[in-house]
Amino acid sequence: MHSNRSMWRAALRNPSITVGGGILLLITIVFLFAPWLGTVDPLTMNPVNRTLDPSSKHWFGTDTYGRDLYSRVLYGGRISLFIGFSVAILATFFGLLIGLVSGYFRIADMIIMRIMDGLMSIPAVLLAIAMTALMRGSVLNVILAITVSEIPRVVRLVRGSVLSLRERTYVEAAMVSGTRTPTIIVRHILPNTFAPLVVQATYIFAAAMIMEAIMSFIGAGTPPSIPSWGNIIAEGRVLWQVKFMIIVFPAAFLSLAVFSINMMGDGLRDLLDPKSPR
Amino acid sequence: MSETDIIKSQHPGANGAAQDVVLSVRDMCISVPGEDGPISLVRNLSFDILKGRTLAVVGESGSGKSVSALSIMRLMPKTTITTGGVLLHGRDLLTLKEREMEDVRGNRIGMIFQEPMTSLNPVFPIGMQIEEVLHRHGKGDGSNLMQQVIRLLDKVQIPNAARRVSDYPHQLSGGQRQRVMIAMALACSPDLLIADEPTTALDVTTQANIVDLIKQIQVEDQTAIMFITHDMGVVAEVADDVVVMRNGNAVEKASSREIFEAPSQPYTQRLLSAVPIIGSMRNSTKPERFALIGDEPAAPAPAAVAQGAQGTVLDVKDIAVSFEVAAGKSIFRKNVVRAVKGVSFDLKAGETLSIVGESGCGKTTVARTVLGLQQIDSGRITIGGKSMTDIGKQQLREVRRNIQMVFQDPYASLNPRLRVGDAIAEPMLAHGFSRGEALETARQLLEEVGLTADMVTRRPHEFSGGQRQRICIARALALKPKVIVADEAVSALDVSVKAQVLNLFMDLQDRYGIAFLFISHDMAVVERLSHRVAVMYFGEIVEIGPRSAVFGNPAHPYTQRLLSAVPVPDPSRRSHIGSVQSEPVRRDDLVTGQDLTKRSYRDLGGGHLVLE
Amino acid sequence: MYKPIVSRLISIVPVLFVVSIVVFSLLYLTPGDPALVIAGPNANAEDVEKIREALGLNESFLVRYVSWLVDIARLDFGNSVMNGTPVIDLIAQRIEPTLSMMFLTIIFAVVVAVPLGVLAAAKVNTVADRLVMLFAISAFSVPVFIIGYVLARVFALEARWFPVQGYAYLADGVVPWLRHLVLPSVALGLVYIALIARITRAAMLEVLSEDYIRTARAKGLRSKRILFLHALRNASNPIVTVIGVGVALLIGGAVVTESVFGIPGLGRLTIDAILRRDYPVIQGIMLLFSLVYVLVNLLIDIFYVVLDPRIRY
Repeated sequence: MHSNRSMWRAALRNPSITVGGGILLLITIVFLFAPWLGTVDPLTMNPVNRTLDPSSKHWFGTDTYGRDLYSRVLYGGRISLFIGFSVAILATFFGLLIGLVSGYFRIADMIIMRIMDGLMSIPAVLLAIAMTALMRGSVLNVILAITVSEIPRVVRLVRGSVLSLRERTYVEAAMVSGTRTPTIIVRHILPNTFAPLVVQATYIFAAAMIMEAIMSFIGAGTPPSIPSWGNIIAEGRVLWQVKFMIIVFPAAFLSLAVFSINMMGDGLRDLLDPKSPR
Repeated sequence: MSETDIIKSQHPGANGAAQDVVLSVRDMCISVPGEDGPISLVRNLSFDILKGRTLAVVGESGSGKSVSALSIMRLMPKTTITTGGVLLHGRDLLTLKEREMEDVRGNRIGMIFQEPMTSLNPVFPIGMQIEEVLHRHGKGDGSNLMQQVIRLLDKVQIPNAARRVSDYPHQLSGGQRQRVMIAMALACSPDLLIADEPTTALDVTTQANIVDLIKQIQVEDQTAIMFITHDMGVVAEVADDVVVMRNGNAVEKASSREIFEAPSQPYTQRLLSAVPIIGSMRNSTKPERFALIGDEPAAPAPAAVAQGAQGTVLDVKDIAVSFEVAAGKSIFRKNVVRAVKGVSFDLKAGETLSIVGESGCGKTTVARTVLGLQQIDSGRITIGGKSMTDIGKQQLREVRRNIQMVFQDPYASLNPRLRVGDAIAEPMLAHGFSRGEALETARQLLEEVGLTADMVTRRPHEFSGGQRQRICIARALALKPKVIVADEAVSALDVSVKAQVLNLFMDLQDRYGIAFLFISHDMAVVERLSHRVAVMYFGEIVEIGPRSAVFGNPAHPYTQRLLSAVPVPDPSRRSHIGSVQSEPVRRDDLVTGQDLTKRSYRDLGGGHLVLE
Repeated sequence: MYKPIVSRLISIVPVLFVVSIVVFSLLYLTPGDPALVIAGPNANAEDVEKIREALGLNESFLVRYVSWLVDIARLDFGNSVMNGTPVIDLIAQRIEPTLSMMFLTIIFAVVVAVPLGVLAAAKVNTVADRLVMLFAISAFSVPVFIIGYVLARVFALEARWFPVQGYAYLADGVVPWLRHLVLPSVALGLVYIALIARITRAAMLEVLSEDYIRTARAKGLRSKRILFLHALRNASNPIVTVIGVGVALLIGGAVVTESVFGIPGLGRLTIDAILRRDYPVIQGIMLLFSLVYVLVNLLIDIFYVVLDPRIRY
């Protein structure tokens, strides 16, 4: 295991991490500073300016309601990234908790794993859209719905590594020396589940952004009043045969952002968790 | 042609005629690319192997012996750079195209490996796996091939060969798998057989059988053999000539007799001094340190009298352990494997009791049982006069601080993320010491085990295997236990390191009167450091008694077989082909739910008991 | 040989139980009163109460769950809230396009992905390997509907090789059926290919470092035989498993792809039901898709038990 400083150096030498992380950082900065980057109110409609082509006034053109696409894409990125990030944090946190319980208590394990198997058998998109169909379509509800469908994967991962870590000789050594279970979990189990978990979290980040886009596309995602990449594309799709640009800009940004996150995930996996399936 | 002449000139004498040189390795250098330039693995290695003779390449881990073998076969990763010459009957293998080399592998050179359990493809029948070598190198066709396969399996003494061809590897024992590997390697009657640690992963009786088989085949086929091993006993058993390697260099090249009788190099001498020789302790009843040449001036213990070498510290009475395994046709019925049954022994302060036996005999289960890592079905375990079997969790923790463990694999026993000091402090923190106190003790303990106090802040990856095992010993000492259980604690270590760690065990015993329960498969090591020995076979202790009695007058047939199978590092005491009894059959009554009739021990006097 | 199969059959029972609870809860938790919807705006309170009574809406969760299960067992998935058509009929009308598309996608993806993964593993850390991995990350990063629109624009709108929209039933001929499905299957398949290729590469890399591969090389076998016989056969477990698990991904993707290409399948039915909050239809589709997923994975498991000599008794 590397010390922290050499870990950083190894991270900076890994092209997947530097390129992926670099793009992600750039995109994030652009979105945070969206109000100062020549944007106008992304919600202002102007029927006269409907579906304009890109120009010096509207860099990406305008949509069917005459709203400025450049502004919408920049503000929409904030929502998409926020959703992806929140899902990654929430799913990882709850997955870790449930996975630890499952890995350490046999009876709970039986029940938890059956529930997780059941949840995993319902295709994630269906589960998520069914849940948002029940609730009001808000950003929070979209986050919750995607989180629920992502949790089983994290639980499986954590449980798997807890079960294998429990068999490690150094954990047995700690047991023999009289160390209590909570101490063993904190000192030996948790830190060693951390690496695969960070990797998984980046993948969930990326997957959640794709999922949000799909849900918005279907019409079960974030409400139309809040621009996200998903619903900008969803609104543009009626005109896809004539005004392809309306789809291309948000789609390109979405794909680039997800690509950079996935790339970072691959780099992190090579770095932190070299033995996991790639 | 000129190279052949050189070889000829170097090998005068009876066996050295040029046409007899099968493989000639000339100035072979092997390196792999590293972050800061190439890393040299082997430097200027040269040797010849003659028809019908065996060259043993011996060395410790990292000596480059296996790398050399793989490079001769050109099986190293593509980035490896090999220079020099590897001449098989005068033809340089290093200059062949890959497709030409494929025609040499398995055809002119056969190879067998260390791990018979993983060296066969698990999803294909063994017959098919042998057949494909014959087919690949054009040795016959159609039904004729299967006939050849059966003949080969007969040759390596697999019983009922004709019926075993459709068996899958998992249906065979380790010894049988290695026989299949040998059949595969010999299928095309190669000029050279490379055997890379072929017996290391096997039990001692199986090992003797495989060595026996290889010798027998060599007599029949006059195959040249390159035999790679770290075990001086095996070297003495098989080798005509020996190359001793260390850190990628050939340290000494000589005939087997010269190496053992008059080693000229200090490293060879040191290596031999570290090898325990079975039977060498015949005239002593006590353990004895290794007199190591060179290396660390092993802190001579103040050989104080073992403090109060009386008093039983561990008492195990009639314990039984069984595991459930899924088997049979019904999913609801589970078979019970009785891993340990009716095992009783006691351990006195300052004493070493060794439990020996082959893999699967239940010795590790016994170790785990006394540590409370494994539940027992019945019986009683008492530590320091307090029963472990029927007390609460809190009390159990208190009782258990008197018994600690050192595990087999020094690489797996330390959490890679924890500093060494924290690892050693862990048991103390668990028992209420303050952190400062625990770390201070950790510093002292590191010195105690032959390391330095300033190492507390380092992490495990900075240490070698032997050093890590010392750290594990320090951790085991932290609570000042009465008993330390050492489960194959030196098996993973190189010969010279092994001897040092064994010396440390004996020193600590002298100093603190600690009792050791030493679990091992290595008879020679056990002879060296035990006061008493228990021999386990299929879950039972078949013989127990003072070490001198068990080794001097083995009463149980299994003990006798075990002792006769141990290779002795002395070519003049080489066993004859066929002298070792064949492998034991698997006892199926182990896997039944039925109770075996209770058996009793015969007392041979002086605490020497043998199962009837 | 039978034992592992039986135990796998038994293992799907709790899974189906959990699925049914989740799906039923969705109906149970539905906001609004279905009785009100059915009764219509002109009904009085008494009528609504009668309908409640008739639908069993006043019963407890457990009673309603059991009677719902009984209905499901009789293939009665209830009626669409919108037009009163039995859900089972709606599904029957729409199932062919969806199954056709998924079937073609799986075949196409496996045929492309496995050799791609093997190639990447055999040439690990070369340009070929990097390209395969780059393709895999890219396919993971572009939502399926974008791929669909781009394909439709390039190969249908502009090149005019394939129809832009719609579906032709198999009964009307194989060629039109295929022509309508090529673009949707490719669009849907790219993610799936990426998934399978990555796992194949990983599994092959692991197997290629095994001792028995070294043995095979030491036997002088040709590298093609080592790769495709000795290695791939041993790497097949995770590959086959991911083909099964990936079906969930396909189902989600199918919903979107059908919408892009105007295919009148279950996906379109799902979207319509979601937009109209037609819960019985949503439920029926979820149940059906979950069952498909569970059965596909069960078949794969059993298939594997039959293939792997080590699991035989």
